[in-house]
Amino acid sequence: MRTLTYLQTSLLTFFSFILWSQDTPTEREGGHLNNNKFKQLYEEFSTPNRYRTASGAPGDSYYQQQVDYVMDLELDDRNTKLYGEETITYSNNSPDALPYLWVQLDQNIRQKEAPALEKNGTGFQPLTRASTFVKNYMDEPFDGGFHIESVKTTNGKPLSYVINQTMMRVDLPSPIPPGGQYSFSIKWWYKINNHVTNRARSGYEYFPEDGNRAYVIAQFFPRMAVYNDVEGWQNYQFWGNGEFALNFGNYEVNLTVPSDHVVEATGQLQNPKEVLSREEFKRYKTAQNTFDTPIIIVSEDEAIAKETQFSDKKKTWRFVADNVRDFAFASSRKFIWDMMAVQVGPRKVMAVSLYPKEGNPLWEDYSTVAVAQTLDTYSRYTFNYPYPKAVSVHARNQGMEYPMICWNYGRPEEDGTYSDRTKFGMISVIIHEVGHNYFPMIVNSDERQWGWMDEGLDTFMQYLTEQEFGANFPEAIRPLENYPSRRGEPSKIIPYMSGDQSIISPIMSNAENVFQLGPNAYAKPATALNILRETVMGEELFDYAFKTYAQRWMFKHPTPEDFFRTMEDASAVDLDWFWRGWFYSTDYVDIGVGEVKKYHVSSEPGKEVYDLLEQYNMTLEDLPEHMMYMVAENSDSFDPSMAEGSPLENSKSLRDYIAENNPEVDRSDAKAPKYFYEIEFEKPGGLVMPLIVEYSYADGSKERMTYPVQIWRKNDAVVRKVLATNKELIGIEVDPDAETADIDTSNNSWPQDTVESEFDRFKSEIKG
Amino acid sequence: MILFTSFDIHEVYISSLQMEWKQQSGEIQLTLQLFTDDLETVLQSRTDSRIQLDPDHQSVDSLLVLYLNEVLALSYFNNPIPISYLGKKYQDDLSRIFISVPLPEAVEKVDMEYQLFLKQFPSQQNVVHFKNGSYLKSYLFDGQNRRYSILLSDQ
Repeated sequence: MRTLTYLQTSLLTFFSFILWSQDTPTEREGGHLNNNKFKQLYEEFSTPNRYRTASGAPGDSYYQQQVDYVMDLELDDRNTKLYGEETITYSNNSPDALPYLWVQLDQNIRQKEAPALEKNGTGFQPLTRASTFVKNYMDEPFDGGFHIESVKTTNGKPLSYVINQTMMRVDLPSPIPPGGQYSFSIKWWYKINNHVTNRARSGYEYFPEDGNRAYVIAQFFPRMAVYNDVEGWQNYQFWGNGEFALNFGNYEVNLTVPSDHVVEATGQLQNPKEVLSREEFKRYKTAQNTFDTPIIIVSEDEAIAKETQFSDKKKTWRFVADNVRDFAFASSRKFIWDMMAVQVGPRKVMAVSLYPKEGNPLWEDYSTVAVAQTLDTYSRYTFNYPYPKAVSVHARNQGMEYPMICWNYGRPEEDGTYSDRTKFGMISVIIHEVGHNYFPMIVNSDERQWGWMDEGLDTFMQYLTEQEFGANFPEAIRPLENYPSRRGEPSKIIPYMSGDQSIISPIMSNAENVFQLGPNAYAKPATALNILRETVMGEELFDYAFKTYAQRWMFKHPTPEDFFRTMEDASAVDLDWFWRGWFYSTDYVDIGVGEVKKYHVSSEPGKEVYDLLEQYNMTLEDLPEHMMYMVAENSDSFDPSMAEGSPLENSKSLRDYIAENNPEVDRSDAKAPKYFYEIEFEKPGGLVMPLIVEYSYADGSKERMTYPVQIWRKNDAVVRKVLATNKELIGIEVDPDAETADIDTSNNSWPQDTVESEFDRFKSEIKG
Repeated sequence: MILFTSFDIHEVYISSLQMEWKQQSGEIQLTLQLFTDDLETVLQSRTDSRIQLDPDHQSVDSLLVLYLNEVLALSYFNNPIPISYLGKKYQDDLSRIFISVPLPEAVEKVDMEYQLFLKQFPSQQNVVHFKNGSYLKSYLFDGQNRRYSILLSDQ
């Protein structure tokens, strides 16, 4: 064991005294709580339990309710009304007896007196357009909402119920015990709204030229609310922004529509032979085994021919869907219909499109192939698509998702031309909405509470899918080289994250209460996941953990914590700092480079050393052996001659030390660094991130260093790093590939870059 | 769901305007970033000829200059400061518009009235980031807040 000499001990004391004396405040500061950015999220997370484990997986007591529906529906096209009678079978898999059931009545948001109509503040404009004035002050509000005709037991006895806005409590004769099952029926109708003028997720579009309507119908039947271990009954009212919390179950639906309508819906069509013409049925069968190109079932000419029919006859389409959380359908005599088979892992899935002629020529070219690409990409990153089909329906101005079916916008001009914006907007929305089959239709998060859990994860996956679509269909994106994704790239979130803090909410906020839902629930979480994948975790660790989350929670109900915990559990990357910063706060990234000091190894001590010794009444002789002298280039004692010669030449102490202790060390000068830099990195932004630095040297070479995010754990504002190199440093750049969403890059370079601003660049361009 | 509020595809009405005061060159440099489809909707509502905002179609500069002068007014001590439109660039679904505002003498503050898209989209939010060297200040213009005095420095 080595012993410290008295002198060494006193020197240690002496150095630590200097450090201590510099830090001693004049007044005693109070204490504080743990504000460290790397503090684990024990306070934010709930305690793990038998339902949900600390690893982020479902626990051994995890349960979810099962709700099965048998429904008879009739669409009255002439009067734009929808009638339904449904029998709900509720299986109580919870450990609790349930004395009442909560049923969601989403259509009630369209009642004349719905509180949701008054949820926002209004201002009065001194100058108003007549159309706005009429809409706001003269039009009668739409008379929507459910008319509940009866709520009955299976024996036909009325059940008592209470309606509170969009929620109906059905009081049971006796509680449903744990493990029990209960069936009851609801008969209802409502007036269907025009979704184009009403800006709704469901309704019809009216085509004045031919007098037809195209229906896209959803949230149309009384649906059971979710009861679970996290919320109890999730009966937070439907206010319009927060979407849906729904149970898995099996559906049998008989849907009666005018006989000339074409229908698509959640689930397998049970009676194609009955509802299709001979020719259509033949094409339908052919499509089931055609993998290379979409087969047209109903052509544009055939659809146009039906536009004037307005048949009074009816047909009933029968659909069966297993293990879905919802049911939606589209119906119109205007629909063109195409489909093709896609191989997804071991399964064959039908990619289907339904669109009026107004969608062509765009829709016949791109819809079904975009569906197929989505199934392919998402399945590789999560799990094989488990349903028999995925349908993309064209609806004006809408992008909205349901199990196996979704509505998408993207309409050419009347003359059939369309801009790139329309085309890419359409392909992107199809990818996004078909992608929602994975999140939240199958990985069934609670949208009413956490919009980002499906929108953020889906938008992240959308980015990966768009990029693959661009690679697979280069002719579709020409002359671009990459698909122009609107979100995903870190730089695109900067305007939002650098915005006024008073209008930014953390991602972990309810969708009803945020200021800018788009960036909040879609773009920021998607970008955060992209940064997590590309920069923080790496693709291999991220992809495995992300897939683990998707597979653990497939056909189950995850919470945000289940996601956060799983991503760490499957990767061994501590991410509490990342969730805290990106998801629980509105902090932003701003990291820069500050002062850079250059040091030389000197044969003689500089003034700083003498000053230090003098202060403690010591001399050079008091120092232990083998001390080296470092002189900063900006110090008074610097002499240009110090920059000559190698450290070995300049320092006798170093030569002696190596000779005595490490004779085997290669003493050639090439091995010893010549240049020493102390570089200060500053962090004006609140978010901690890995510190990515590119060093440029005088010989033209560059070196990339990524210091782990943990570098910020003891000082959240400034850290220093020493760079010892045998090449002269001429430049430093922080985050050279713009991968961290750094909101202010003016401090990212040394020497301070005088980068031409975009404005100046534009100015010189137009002059040139 | 994709939220949309205009006749196309994005989910919020928002624009950002970077204002940088370059004292040496005697100008305030304005870079306005907005959604192209919003601009198209607004310009379309002001003309009968079909507007398509992409580089392949006809120039809309004269319409745009008129519109910008209508919704953006700068002044100091009640003296209007003229704005000078330099041009625009399209990227993906965004447009960037470059405007120069001459300000030869040093003044304390500039009064700004700014109503971009407010008439057409009541929920429009226009964020303005003012920069002068290291001095930064952000303002949120919307239906309720159409005027601010922009302080040019923190002194």
